[in-house]
Amino acid sequence: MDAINQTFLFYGYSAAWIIVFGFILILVRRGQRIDHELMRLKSLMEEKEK
Amino acid sequence: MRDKAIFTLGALGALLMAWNMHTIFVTLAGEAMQGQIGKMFFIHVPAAITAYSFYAVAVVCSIAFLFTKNFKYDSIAVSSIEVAQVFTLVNLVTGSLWGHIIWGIWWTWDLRLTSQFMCFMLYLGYLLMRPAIAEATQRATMSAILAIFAAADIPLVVMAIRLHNVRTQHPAPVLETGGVDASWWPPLLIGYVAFMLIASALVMVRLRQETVTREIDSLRRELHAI
Repeated sequence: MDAINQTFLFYGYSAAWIIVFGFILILVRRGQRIDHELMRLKSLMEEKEK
Repeated sequence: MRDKAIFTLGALGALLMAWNMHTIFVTLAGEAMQGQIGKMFFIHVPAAITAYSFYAVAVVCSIAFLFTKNFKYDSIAVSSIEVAQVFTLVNLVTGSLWGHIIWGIWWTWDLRLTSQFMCFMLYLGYLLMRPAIAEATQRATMSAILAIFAAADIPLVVMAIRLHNVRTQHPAPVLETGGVDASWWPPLLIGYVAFMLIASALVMVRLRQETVTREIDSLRRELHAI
């Protein structure tokens, strides 16, 4: 019984960290996408102003 | 400066959590009745309290937005809700894994579990609704109203196990009734502080993205006008 307890405790802590790191990954990818979009729009703006 | 603050908060939270997990797994004995699975408490409870702390921030900022129409408050609200959702999900998943061992079931529709699930779904609705409204002021106003409305569910979650005429599968409250052993309080509190530090760092990252997104929107409008 204690082995199953230990296994499920491990699953619980693993799931928690997978969820948190998954969210961090989503944040990083979203950050890269919006930074890229900002750069693109800024260069487009410069081109139009010339 | 902000990047340094984010890194410091995140690193401090991660270190604190690593040290706490060492205490939980190596030093601390299992719960008398439940054994090792009882230690799920140290991630399940701090995750819930962290989520509620950030839902509270979101509600305060939503009210502030409705009064001031300052978009800074809307940005803080959406960032806080997104991070709070992550910790609500952690709470739901760890609770389900614990329930599978202790109750023999993954889930039951009792008042506590259902109201917590409703909280998650209501704020998920908040996050899904936002991209559907194009006009910024209308989006922020609708979001603020929904954030305040959804928060009405939180007292129900808290009170679900404290009402005398309601029977729930969820354990009775232990924090304020002396049901927690003295040796369990430090890892519980450290777990909460660590989660709050990590969550604060995540909110700051998300807030920066929200600011850049607003800048992108205004650039698009300018480009459209030229």
